[in-house]
Amino acid sequence: MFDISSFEALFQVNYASLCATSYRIVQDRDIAEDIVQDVFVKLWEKKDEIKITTSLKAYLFQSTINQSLNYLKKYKNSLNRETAFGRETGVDINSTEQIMALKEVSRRVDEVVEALPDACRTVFILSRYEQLSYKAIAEKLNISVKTVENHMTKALKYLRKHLLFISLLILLKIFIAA
Amino acid sequence: MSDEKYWNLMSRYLSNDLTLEETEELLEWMNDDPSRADLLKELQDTWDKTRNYPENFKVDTRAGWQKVRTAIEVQKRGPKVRKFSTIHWLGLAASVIVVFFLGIITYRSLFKSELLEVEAFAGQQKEVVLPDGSKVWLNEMSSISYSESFNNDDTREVQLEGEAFFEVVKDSERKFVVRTGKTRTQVLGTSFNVKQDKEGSVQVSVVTGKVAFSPIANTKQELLLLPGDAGLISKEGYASKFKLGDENFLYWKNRELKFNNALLSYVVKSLEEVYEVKIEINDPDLLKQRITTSFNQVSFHQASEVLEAMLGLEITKSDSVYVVKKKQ
Repeated sequence: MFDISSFEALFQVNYASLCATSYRIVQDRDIAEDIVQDVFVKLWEKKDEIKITTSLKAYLFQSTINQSLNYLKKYKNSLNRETAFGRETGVDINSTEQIMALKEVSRRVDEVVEALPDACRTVFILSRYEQLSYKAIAEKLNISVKTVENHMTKALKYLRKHLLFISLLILLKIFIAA
Repeated sequence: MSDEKYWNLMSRYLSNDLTLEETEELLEWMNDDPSRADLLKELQDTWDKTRNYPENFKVDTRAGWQKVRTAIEVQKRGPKVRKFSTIHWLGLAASVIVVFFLGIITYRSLFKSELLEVEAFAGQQKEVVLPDGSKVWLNEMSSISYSESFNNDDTREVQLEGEAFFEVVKDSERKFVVRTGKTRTQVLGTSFNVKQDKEGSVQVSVVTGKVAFSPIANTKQELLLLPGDAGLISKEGYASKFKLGDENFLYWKNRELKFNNALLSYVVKSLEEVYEVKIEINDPDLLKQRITTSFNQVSFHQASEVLEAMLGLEITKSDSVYVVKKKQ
């Protein structure tokens, strides 16, 4: 299918965005990189056997998403649990210290997304970044469409609440600066 | 209850997962109370804010590739050892090191027939004759490299940075491949121009023959280009094909501009580009005039004299701008 130099080119072009895709799901940079490297090693191993019906790029993203979800299921066992917003401490609205510490607004967006419970965030990620339909998400995660709906609504309510706060902070900063 | 339902409709709206009827239902619900439209707008904002998640995410692609490459190399050598004692681990570690160095040695010896590189600096142009007799005209600030064993390899392969015009000698046995940025251009024997812009997108314009142009990472997106065609692959890897309006993309090489029943506005734009001047026309009627002419290795002054004579114009310089008017 391809030689080592075109395989390297394929790696160069796609590695970073594949890692970001995996990271959104597994929430750990090293693990994300491991997963993506593994996807490439497996592709190389099976390069003469596998039949790729879509594009190579689509195949890589599909494998990365599947491997990342497998990781969550296997090692964190967190997809089936209805966890609460465990890491909510990261977004404490009333703390002035938090406000003072707030330098990078974009970093806050990351923090808010990451404060979502695993199952809830995974559903949101698959819809938001992988453009999967609710039905496809339900099938991938082996949950009902109803559960997907609940997770999405929950995620949106949470994000809205906390990202609205960030907008207000930006306004406040501009106001103080002026 | 109904609140939950509309939250679900709004989520589905953002996820692009609504049927037509559901969309109508959502719109009706919003019509009943203007604050509901505000809520949806707010949610859309929220959705948009998360666009770049994760922010500033960087990985070390080189280190990643090293790991993958090592894993591939290890796999290649012999069957896997089953049970691992300390001795085995030491053995494995040793063989990994050996394989690693072997890898480096093979890599080195493969590329020992070092890469030959020709570079044209600013203000310079170079003509290169490749070992197979194919000719390459390098535009300024461009470079081309190819292996010393170019003539013995199965494919004739060159790497280009910048812009070059290729006249490839036909060899039906060995295809000719140009790699530029993230793209690959493959031919048997033709002439064509390859141009990589500063942002990283690459354009291939074909003069004769047939050219296959594709992103390296996705040869499925291949564009088949015939004479008069051009293909463009953006830095994100999107491929598109279009018809060349004229052959002036080769001006950098032969200093010739040809216009065939072209609008004066277009002619002026081309002149501005190649002579790096500013030209102003305030008379809208003039812009619509058409002209057929060619400028071969002429100065801007000579070109403007031709235009003046052909269309009854007066071109005067005021400050750094050339102003075009109808002759009184």
